[in-house]
Amino acid sequence: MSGQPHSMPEFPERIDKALKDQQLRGALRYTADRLYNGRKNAMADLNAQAAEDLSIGTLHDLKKRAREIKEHSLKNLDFYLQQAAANIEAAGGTVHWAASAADVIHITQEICHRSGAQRVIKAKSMASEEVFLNHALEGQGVEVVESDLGEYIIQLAGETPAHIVIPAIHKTRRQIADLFGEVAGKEMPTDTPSLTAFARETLRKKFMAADVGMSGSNFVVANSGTLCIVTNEGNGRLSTSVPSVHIAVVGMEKLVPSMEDLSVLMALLPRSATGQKISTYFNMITGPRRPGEPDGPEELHVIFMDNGRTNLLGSEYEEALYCIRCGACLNACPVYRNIGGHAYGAIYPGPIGAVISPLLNGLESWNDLPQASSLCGACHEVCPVGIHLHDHLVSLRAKMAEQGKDSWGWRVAMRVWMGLWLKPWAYRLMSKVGYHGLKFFAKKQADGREICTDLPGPFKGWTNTRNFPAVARRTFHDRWADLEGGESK
Amino acid sequence: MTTKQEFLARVADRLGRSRPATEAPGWKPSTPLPTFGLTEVEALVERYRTEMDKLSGKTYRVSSLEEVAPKVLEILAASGLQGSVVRWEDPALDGLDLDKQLEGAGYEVVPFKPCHNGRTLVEQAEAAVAGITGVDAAIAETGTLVMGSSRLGEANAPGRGRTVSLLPPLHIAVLRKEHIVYSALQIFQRLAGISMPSQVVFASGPSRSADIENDLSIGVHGPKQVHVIIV
Repeated sequence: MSGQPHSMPEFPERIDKALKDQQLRGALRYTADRLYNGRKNAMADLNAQAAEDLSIGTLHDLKKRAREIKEHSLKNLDFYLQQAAANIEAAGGTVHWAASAADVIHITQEICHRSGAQRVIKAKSMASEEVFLNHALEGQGVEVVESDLGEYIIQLAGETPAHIVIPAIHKTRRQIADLFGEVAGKEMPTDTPSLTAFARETLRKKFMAADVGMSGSNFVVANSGTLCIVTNEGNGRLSTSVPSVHIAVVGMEKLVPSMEDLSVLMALLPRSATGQKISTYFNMITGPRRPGEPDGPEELHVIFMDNGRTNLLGSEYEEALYCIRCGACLNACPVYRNIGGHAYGAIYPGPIGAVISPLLNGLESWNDLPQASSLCGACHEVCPVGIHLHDHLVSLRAKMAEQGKDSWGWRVAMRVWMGLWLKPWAYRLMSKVGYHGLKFFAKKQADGREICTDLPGPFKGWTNTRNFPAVARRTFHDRWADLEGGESK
Repeated sequence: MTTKQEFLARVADRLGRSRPATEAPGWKPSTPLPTFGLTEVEALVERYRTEMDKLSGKTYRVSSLEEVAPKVLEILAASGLQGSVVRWEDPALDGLDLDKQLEGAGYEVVPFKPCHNGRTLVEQAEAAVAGITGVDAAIAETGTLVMGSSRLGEANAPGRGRTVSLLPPLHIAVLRKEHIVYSALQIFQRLAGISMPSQVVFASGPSRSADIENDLSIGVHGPKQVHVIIV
């Protein structure tokens, strides 16, 4: 599965649509700012507390250590997968191995079919979004209900998440009230307490009636076989405590060797995601319920999922598997902040999505996403595990070009450009051509600068959204020559 | 379908190995984790209360076990809710005289006794106005309660329910002050030394969400109120 539906409009059209949606851009700015500042304050507090020996370490120390943990886990992933599987099985769980999205779907359908499950309740899980699990189960006649409030909203709207952490970042309360109103069969008030109360009541019934609870897992501790689920609402607890079967879909890169390693990553994840020191709930699951325990699932199924992750493993992009899905790079990215998640089209948006979407699905899909970056490096700066996202984006652009994924016109233009820029005489000639060519389109500004605001032909794409400064009559080379001449006198 | 062998072979291949590794090289991070935080009990209690306050959780201090049940009644009365109460069947709640006093005040008490199929109990938890639990530990740095599905370090101590602290609108927890530690790291280190219960939950304040226009709302799926009585 390439994960790229054919019916989707081209990337530039998707961007255009997002940029014209002022409501979307306002909502994005507001929420991304809050999350960005929340993270910033949480990290400042972490560092201040570390200075007084009151926290586990500075951001710098934690990031360094987190990178060591992830590097070690991935370099020995074959061992840790076996260790985790053995421990999950020893605790009474069942482990399944899924190379592809199709495998995940098949395994889940099998489990539902065998246990006669009609109703599935889901905690928030990007892994299951990645394989379009809901659609597949519904096709089998199984009711699937998302229980994270944001996921529930977008499920009702028939959409995919617009943000890794805040799926309904783009929805207004009016739209949410309308969606809930359709379920309720009556007009809904738009205040947050009423909407939350409605969701609680509706979903509580779904939790109680569900045969299967599904979740992802933020981390898996290999030496104990423990799944770890981070939530604020409690959906990660309910879906793993009430239904009699629990299925967890786990990206294979989620493994950490030990509890101590977990403490480092858990110090980073909530702070990076929402600015919280710790999420409201963090539950650690080791096997199904034990004899005599009154509640909890009777069966636990863990599906370890590859789905393209081995494309990154052992490659120059391995580091992208360090990602703990905090979403901090989305909130910091000037592109994401303006176009939001849906314009990317892929399940994982933002800088991390632009890196991993083509790698997970094959370079023939999502190959325009790496262009959606100003390469400013803000993503790298906020990444709790220090992924060099901007470097990977450049490298992917180079790969696409090498493999001839760029358009014919673009390739020719770049070749001509390279030919001219390689020869000093041609370069100088071009700066003269540029000066004379742009002179006619330039307008003098109040501050004396010459600016082109409306260029013709293929250059229109540039001046549609920003200005282009005219080429100076006297180039830098000319002025440098003057300076050198002056000094030698 | 993929077999375990095929899956692992692909991973090993990408890592440059001809077959999956059967052990990992001994590994030490470049710097050890620091020792940090408060140790003095009163300071820990204060920090815990401060953090819970920030999370909209409520804390109370009582000086003896006899004061717990009246405090529970006070909390229930203030909530204005009437109905049944579920609770752990666990030594953590022994000697509190809870059942007698609660029943005396008109609340039906349902203990989560060890059993084979607790579906009825789960339904009773769903219908209850409050769930009363003990606590294995609390984390002062983050205002967190730590609760295992069985007592930490005792693999077969099943008289607890995951849903007692989850389904009712009120969660009332009884915490002994000497069980408060400073950091999550201390808990993780403790868990590393024991056989893990089927579930260990860290709960920090009432259930919350900011999924509607980033507006904070309390009480989404889990409890709407969390009350911690510190003995």
